[in-house]
This record gives sequence, structure tokens and C-alpha cells, in this order.
Amino acid sequence: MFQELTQRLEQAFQRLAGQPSLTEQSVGEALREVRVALLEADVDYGVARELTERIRAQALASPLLPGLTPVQHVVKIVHDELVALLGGQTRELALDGPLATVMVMGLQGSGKTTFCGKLAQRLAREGRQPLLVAADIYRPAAIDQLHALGEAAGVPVHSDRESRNPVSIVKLGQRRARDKGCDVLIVDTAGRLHVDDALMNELSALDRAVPMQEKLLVLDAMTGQQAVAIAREFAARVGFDGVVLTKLDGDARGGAALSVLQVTGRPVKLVSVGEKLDDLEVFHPDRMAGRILGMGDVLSLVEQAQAKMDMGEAEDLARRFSAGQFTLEDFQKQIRQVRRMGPLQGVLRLLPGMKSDLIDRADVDENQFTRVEAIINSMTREERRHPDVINGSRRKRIARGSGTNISQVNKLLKQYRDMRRMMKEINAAGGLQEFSRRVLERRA
Amino acid sequence: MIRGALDRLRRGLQKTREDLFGKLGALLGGRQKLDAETLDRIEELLLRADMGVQASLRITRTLEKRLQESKGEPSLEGVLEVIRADVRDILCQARPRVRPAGWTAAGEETTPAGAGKARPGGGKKKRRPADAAPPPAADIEAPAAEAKARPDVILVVGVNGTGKTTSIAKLAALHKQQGRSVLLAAADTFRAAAVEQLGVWAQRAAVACVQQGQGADPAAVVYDALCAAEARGHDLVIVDTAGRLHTKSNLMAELAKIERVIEKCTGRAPETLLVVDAVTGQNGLAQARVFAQTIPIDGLVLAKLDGTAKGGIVVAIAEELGLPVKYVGTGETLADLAEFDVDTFLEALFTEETAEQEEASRDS
Repeated sequence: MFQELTQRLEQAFQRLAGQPSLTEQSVGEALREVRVALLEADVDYGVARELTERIRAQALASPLLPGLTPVQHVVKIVHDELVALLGGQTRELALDGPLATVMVMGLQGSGKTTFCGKLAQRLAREGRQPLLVAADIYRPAAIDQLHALGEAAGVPVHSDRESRNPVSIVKLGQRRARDKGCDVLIVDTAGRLHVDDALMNELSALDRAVPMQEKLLVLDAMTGQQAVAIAREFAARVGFDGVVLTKLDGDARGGAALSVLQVTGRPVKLVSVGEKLDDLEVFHPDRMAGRILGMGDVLSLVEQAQAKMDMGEAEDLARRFSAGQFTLEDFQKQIRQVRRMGPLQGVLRLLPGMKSDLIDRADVDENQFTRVEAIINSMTREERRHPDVINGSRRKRIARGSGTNISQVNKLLKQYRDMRRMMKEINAAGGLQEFSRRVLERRA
Repeated sequence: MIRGALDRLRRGLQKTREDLFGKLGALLGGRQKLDAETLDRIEELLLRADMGVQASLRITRTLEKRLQESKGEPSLEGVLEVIRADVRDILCQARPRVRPAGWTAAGEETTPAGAGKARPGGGKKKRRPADAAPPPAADIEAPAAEAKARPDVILVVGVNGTGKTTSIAKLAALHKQQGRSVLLAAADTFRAAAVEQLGVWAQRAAVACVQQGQGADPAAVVYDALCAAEARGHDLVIVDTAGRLHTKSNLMAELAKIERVIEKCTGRAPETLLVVDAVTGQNGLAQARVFAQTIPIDGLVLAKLDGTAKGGIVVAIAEELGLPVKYVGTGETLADLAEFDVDTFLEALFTEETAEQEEASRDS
């Protein structure tokens, strides 16, 4: 948990050898590291300062808990403080009424249009009837982009290439939505290089002309110290109900989210985590707290696994696994399940303790999966179900069929046999939990 | 740098300048000496400009040292001069071409660190040991006459939404103005309507554009464009690539492939520019780091600087990676791109503009 900060703090405390306790001096030293960690995560300077002051007070006031090192103590306080700051719970969009309207705003390149597509798909899947409205009349091809996204999401798009008036476009869109029986209007507005009067006037004109249930500010997770100024300006001139944090699939820590929440009081509602239309998630404050300080995101991993895996198939696999009937056919299914979760490095990134440079250095060979799949695909059904029948000449045929060589086929068969053996051990041990407990004990 | 561009750059940095100068002025106004608190405040100003912890610390430390040595009362000008000199040092120590480890020159077999693992059976390929003698010069340059006819290539890369396509349009306009015959290659075949967007810009800049449509193999588009340029006599090809987060290793490998295709077709490396959004925070450093590990990067384009955004991240990037800033994007029209000039950048960052000049820049 909080690997990077923990390391930094340990170094800081090491410099103070002989003072393992929490003194004014050692806490001061530790807080310098906390501050650097926050600043490097792009938390606003002022917010970082307030935060470190609060942490200082708490670290000095609360007694060192038995069993906790000073480092762990400080890290715990930092974590609790961040979670508290980011807000207690997840907030959903409030889209009530016969025709709820969502206005999507933000700077250029923050990911507004892509987010509109994702939101449309998400709402459509929830059984809503969204209509996308292209109110960005400035950026070349913005309308084309929204149309392409709408088509991919299976959601209709209203646009008017002749009109130079966003208000009338949205009003027409509203009418069209009613005619078509749509119940949500998603308005993609124009971005600007920065917050300027023309943009703000246009947005507030839209806001006045059409009642908006949700005004969302789209913010790039990579935004630096400017995030607060941007958010403040939007809050003062147009107002917004929530933030959408985009490009969180990169390694940006997204400290900007914390700053914006702290300064404007507006929560982050959704986060965008990839380039595909279904890469949109609800915001979880506790996970974000971990991310800002360099902790992995296990919960997201679990959720991702659940969303992309075929649960029925997974349960079936688990049953066969515990019954000791695991064949290469099952192995194949298992590989497909894992691959459905996306590139393996992305999956690794979500694990705690996996730092991005480590993952980049780790040689994760996606092609290995492709090879294994090809080998299994080149087998007959009988061979997959009863791998023991695979003899030398079959191996040769399989290698030829899959474009691999015999040693690769052998390697796969060995992996399969190892897995089957492990499975038997697990079953003999009385289940996975008991087994993993034993393995851990053995390691310790 | 032409006058108009300078003004635009000034205007772009005006907010920063007012902040920094105004605050510094207020800070130092009544003070007799540069105490710890004042230094803290200066550090704050630098950090708030996204210059990063490392670069900011270095600057404040130098400031502290210099001012202790001089022992005189710190004048506002004196403090500014020290900061200015230091930022200039950082930006000018920039080494011209940053290469990924193991990257070999055009004409040799290229084995970029990032692409190796993506290549199936990569182990089978012979790798040239790092210390092996370079191949005879003739291998690289030959045939010289033919190489001359091949177009120069500018490869533009960056993460999503930094302003690559717009910067390319501006670059095209700039080079066209300088008498080059420009061809754009629409190799962002991923994002919806990116090809159309580049097409619109190509029209506005009145330059040619080669495209295959969404979903095409970007390296194939580049190859096509290079052939077309040779056939039609264009002497500069500017390649637009899809925005990619530097954490997606497969997309980074795709970039290495595009790079190799260009080197193979033209016999030399393209000028590769990484576009960084001026509003980007410390992640900009991670971006630059990974892109430079994947393909050789020649420099940065600092885009969207006409905002309140300060673009201090380029100082952090120069500090760590030695990547120079080549161009600055300052607005939404085709003319809003200037070649980067350290002194102008610094002047705009750190000097006070008289009210008169301000009037003038507003009018233009």
C-alpha cells in the first residue's frame, strides 16, 4: 500500500537515524516527502500545503499505535486524510424527468467528445434512450467524430452543419428527442484552448436556454497546477455539478481531481479509462486516494474482471477445476477469459506494488498467448480432451499447423500437466483457500 | 522570430508573467533580505508553473547560494536575473537528439528497446552489439544522389488530446511559407474523424494530404505518403499519428514501426517532435521519458500556450531528459506557431511588459 510514499518516508526516517519516534523534527522531515509526493501527483500547491498541515497536526497529536512503525503511522494518516477529502461515497448522475439534459464541457483535447460517446453507450445499456447533440461547431470534424461515436454506440446523433448557433442546435435537438421518444439529451459543447469569455458566454447561453440536469466538466487526468484555475472559472461562470476525469488509463496520478474537489466542492462522478466505448467507470474515492499516492487499484481490477468475463463460463471452469476434470479445452477458455480483460500490462498495472517502470521493464509477451491459443486450436477435439494421446507424430502435426515448433508444443503440454498436478494438490488440500494458506506459510 | 509571433507568445505567457512578476514584486517589495520564507514563496511560484519539484528546487537552491555570495540587498531585478539565467541553463543544456538505449542509426538494423518485446520471435533477429563498428559510411548514405530527392519527414507524436493535428497544420503552413512543398500523411487512423480533421486543416493550409481512412495500418499510410511525395515531388512530409498514452506498450511499438518504415524509405531518420500540452502537469515528464525510450525524439512542441497554462513542464523535461523545445503553439489559427526561442520564452516569462506594449499586443 502506498509503495512509493512508504519508500520515500522510510528514506526520510533513515536520515534521522536514532529518532524512530515521531518528534517535531522527524514529522517535519516526513511531511516534506508527503508534500513532494502530492506535488508530483499534480495536487494543487495550496491544497497540498493545507493537507500537509492537517497531517502534521494529526501525526503529532495521535499517539503511535502499538505495532505500527512511524512510517506506517504517517502513511495511514495520509491515506485516511485523502479518502476523507475525496468524499465518502460514489455519486451517480441524477438524470430524472421526461427529458434529462447533460451538458458536457471542458478544454480542448480533454476528451469531451469521446466521453459523450461513452456516456451515450452506458445510458443506452441501462435502458435509457439517449440522443447525442453536436454543439461543437468550431473544431474541424467534431461533428463527424460524434456521428462515428454515436454509430458505434448505437445512439442517434443530432447535428446541423449549416447552423452557427449552438443554442438553436440544442433546442432543435431537444425537439427531436421528444419526437423520437428519447429521455436523455447529451450535449457535446465546443472546447477552447483556455477559459475565455466567448466560451463562457456560449456555455451560459446554452445553460439559460435549456434547463440542464447535469453539467459535467471534463478534466484531463494529466492536468497540472492549472486545474484549479480552470475549475474555479467554470464554477463561477457556468457552474457544474460534477467532474469527469479522463485518460486515467495512463500513469497520471490525477492529483488534479483532489484539488478540484477541494476548491470547488464538486465531486468526480465518472472516470474514463481507455479508448473503447465501454471504458467508463464510476468514480471511487478510496481507489483514487490510493492512486494519487502510488497504490495499485485492486478493486478496479476485480470489477474489470467481472465485467469482461463470462461469469457462467468462469463458474463452469471453476467447477471442472475442482472436480479435477481440467482439459486443454478448459485451458483454452481460461486464456480467452484472461485476454478479454485487455493487454496484460494494463492488468498488471492495477495490482498494488506494481510500479509502472517495473511493468515496462517486465517482458510481458502478449504473443505467447497467441502462440498457445494457436497450438491448442491446431489440436483435434480428442487431443484437447485427452492430451495424453498426443504422441510424437501428433506433436509434429500440431507444431506445423500452429506455425510453432515441437519444443513450444512440448512446453505447453508441460505447463498443462503442471497445472493439472497443482489442481490435484489443491483439491487434496481441501480447497483453494487452504491451499494458498499453505503455500504462503511455506514461503514465509 | 517574427514580431507577430513574439507578441502572440508574449500574450500567451502574459498570465504567467503577471503572476510571477507581480507576486515576486509584492514578495520582495518591503523585504531587506531573502529569508527562508521568501525562498519558499519563490519555490511556490515555480511549482505552480508546473516546473516540477526537481527543477524548482534546483532553481531556488541556486538562488539562495548566489544571493548569499553577493550579500547585497536582493533587488527584484537581481532575483529575476538569477532565475532567468538558471532556467536558460536548464533549457539550453538540452541535447539535440535523445535516443532510446540500443537504438542504431538509419540504415543499420534498428532494435529499439521498446519494440523488441513486441516483435514475435525477436530473439531470432541478429542484434548488432552496441560497441560494434558502424557500417561503412557508404551503406548509410548511398546512393547520395537518390537520397537527395527523397523528402524530409517530420513525425509528430504525443498522447491523446495534446494538439498534434492542429500543430501539424500550423507546421505545414509555416514550412509552406518558407517555400517547401508539403504533404501531410494522415496516419491517425484510430480516432473517429481524425482523418477528416486533418483533411480540413490541409485544405485550410492549402497543402496536399494522403489518407486511407479510419482503421488503416498507420505504417502503410506513411509508406504510401512517402511514395506519393517522391512521385509528386513534395520535399517535406509531415506525419500525423494517433494519440497514444505512453503506457500502452503495443501502441508504442506501432510508433517504432512507423519510425522504421520512414528510415527505410528515406534512408534517414525523421525529425520527430513530441507534442506536449501546456496545461499538462508532472505526467508530461513520464510521457517524454517513455516516448524517448521508444523512438529517437528531436524536440518538443509546446502546444496551447496561449492559455492561462504556463507550460513550465518543458523546463522539467529539459532538466531531466535534455529535450529541447522546438516550437510553441500559441493559438487556434494557422499562423499561431513560432519557432521556440529561449530568450523570448524567458523574456515573456520573467520580464515586465510596459502598459504600452501590452496595448500594442492587444490591438494586433
